[in-house]
Amino acid sequence: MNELHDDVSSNNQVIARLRSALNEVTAEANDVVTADGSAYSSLPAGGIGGARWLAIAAATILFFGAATAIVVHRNHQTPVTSSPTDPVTAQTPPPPTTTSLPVTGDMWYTLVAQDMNAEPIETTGCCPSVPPPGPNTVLAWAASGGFADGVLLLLVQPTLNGDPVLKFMSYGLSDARAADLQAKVVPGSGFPYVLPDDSMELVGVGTEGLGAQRSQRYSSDLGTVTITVGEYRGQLTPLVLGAGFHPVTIAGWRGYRYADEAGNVHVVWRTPTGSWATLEISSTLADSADGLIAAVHAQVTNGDPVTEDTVSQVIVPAVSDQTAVGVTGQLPRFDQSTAVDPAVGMPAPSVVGFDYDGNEIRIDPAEGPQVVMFQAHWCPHCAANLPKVMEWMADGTIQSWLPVTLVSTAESPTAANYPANKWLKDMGWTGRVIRDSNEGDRVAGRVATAYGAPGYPTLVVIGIDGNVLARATGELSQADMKQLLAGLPSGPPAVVGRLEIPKIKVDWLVVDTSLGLKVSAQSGPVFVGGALPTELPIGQDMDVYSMIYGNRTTYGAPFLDLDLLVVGDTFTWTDESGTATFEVISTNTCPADEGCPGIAGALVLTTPDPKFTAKDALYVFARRTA
Amino acid sequence: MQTGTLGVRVGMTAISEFDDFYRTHRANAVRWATALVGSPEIGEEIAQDALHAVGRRLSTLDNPAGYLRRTVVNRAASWHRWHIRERRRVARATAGQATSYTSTTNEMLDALAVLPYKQRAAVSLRYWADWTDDQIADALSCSPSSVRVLLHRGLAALKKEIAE
Repeated sequence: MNELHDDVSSNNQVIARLRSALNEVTAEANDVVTADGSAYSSLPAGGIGGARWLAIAAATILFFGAATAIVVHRNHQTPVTSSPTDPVTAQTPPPPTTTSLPVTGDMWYTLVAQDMNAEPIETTGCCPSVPPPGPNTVLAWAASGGFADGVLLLLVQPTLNGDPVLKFMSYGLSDARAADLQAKVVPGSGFPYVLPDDSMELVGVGTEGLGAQRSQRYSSDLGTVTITVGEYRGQLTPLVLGAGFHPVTIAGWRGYRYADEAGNVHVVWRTPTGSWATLEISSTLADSADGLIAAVHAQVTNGDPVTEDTVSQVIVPAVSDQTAVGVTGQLPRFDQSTAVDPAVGMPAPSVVGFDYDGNEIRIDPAEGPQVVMFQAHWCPHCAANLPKVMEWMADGTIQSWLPVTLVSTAESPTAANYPANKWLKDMGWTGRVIRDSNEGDRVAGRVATAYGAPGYPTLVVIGIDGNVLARATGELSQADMKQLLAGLPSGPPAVVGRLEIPKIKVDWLVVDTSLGLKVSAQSGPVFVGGALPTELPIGQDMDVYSMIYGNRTTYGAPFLDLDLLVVGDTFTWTDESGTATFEVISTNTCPADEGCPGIAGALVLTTPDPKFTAKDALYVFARRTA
Repeated sequence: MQTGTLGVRVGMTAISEFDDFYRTHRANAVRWATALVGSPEIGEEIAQDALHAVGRRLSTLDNPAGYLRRTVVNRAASWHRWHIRERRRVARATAGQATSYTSTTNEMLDALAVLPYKQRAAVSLRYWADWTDDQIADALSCSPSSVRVLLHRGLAALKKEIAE
């Protein structure tokens, strides 16, 4: 609970120290900025900053190259051919951050989302006729370390008199480096232009906005999602123009996410076969973007170009062969013999993977306390330990609210009880499973390696802050298990009070945020903060508030019908100090990430809106009545 | 210059207009960004990027100063999200022990570094940079009342960190 009445003088001390510390750290920046020593003075003419600005401006201002006329031969299938003068003959895709996909044919991507309706795939051929002087050509070079380490883009605009105009843009390169690279770009014979520099590789060449591509739209009442795969047509341009390189993992591959001015979310990535893919999520679905990005799955056809026919022929195997695709983070290998496990307190790796049915399962440490358990189907200790863990989950030794994810790793096709999913079924495990990546017979997969599992079974407890709380390996006793979980909150969140809203049949015990809002809200509406409702004033405006959050459609859906409350409806709150009656004075709906303006002295009930989305937040303001 | 791709346009603002804006706001942008990330070098980079981003749209903005505040705060947030996390993970994985990314000996800066970003931004901008609650709310895309909650929690957390 918040301490509502802080000691003012101690606050002032903290603020004074804060000011002094920040003055110190910004002093160096001020030194650079000001000529007269004043922290707030503006820049003197011709100072360092001015020169720097001119250099920045230069990066976006066109300059003219001494180039010959360009003829770009476009072809539907192959975006890039090499030539003797081309220094970048061996094209390799940017190194994937996650497991690689088999590269046997064209790539295609589908969105696996229940409520989105797939529309037919549309194919756009290359290069509709463009009136003279013809279409612009776009080229992209990326640093061999990856896009985020530096990108140079070139836009070639043909002109009627034959001399094209070259415009360079760069990202992640120093001004000097960009200028250096620009100076190296020369007309090529197979390519329109080549950049002879070992540290940069050509990743895209095409016609601006016009390259051949296939696209598919998915729509629902709420908005649309469009996936395109095809030739490079300038997909990197918005990123370089300032949208930023925010890496995301999409279909097991590294992509870059940005939002445009209209709020639409875009992801751009270069596929393992060198084609370019984009995902566009309309602004109305932007709040679901994380889920939609995760719902994009890669498909590879067996050498046939992607068409609606070949895509529909891609058969989803009965047992998914999809394994853990995204693992971020690394813990040191667990060593039982050391007194202190160095991993304790380190951020737990986050994992995006699949169970044996192909359902996506995640280990997201940000979601709060959880248990991750590594099992190998052939290992006798695992077979002995797993039933005990299941018993503890049933008897409360492992708290019922604590999510447990079993990572099935180091599979062995030569073991008698292969496949592992059959073993899990025989053992009676019905909980969450992630199938770890296959690194070889009985070899630890990527998830097990990231968590530093030295053997099987290994159990990792993640604390409320997303950091590792404890690790253990081998068969465990009940006492061991209790010891491992000792650092977690002992039970569900504490009850703060009782909320009764007869009109919408709400009678819930409201809990505190001790497990974090998300996990706590699984137990019921959550008292988010502010004054206790019974401490709110009656009939006067004071700068205090009180807020209760409830889930809309999940975990008992306490606030399912919150939208039915209208001004004048009444409800009650009861806690240790007594019962308070409230009357609804206003309702409002605002974007979820902004929230609605507060009303002084009001109790706010809030829930996501509309149902099944987190786009907006519905606020019901109520004032305490006598 | 216009690029037809994905509907993105680049409006080149007259250099003199941007120059004035730049001269007026650069010092503060650098100070804010430095305070938000705890490093003058990175603060400088973020401020430059933010000024550049604002400069490109200067002619279309009603409130360029507010947009700059928002951009600096957002870019500092991005930096925290994407760079620090990776760096800390790598550093910790290799050294096998916790590493501080600010390499500072100032206790208050250490305390700031462990605050959630929004709390850090709120207390720094309110109590040091003297922004109003409304300005902070705008930059953090939240309501002024949320800012007050962030300030309250941020101060409490700083007190706790320093006491430990």
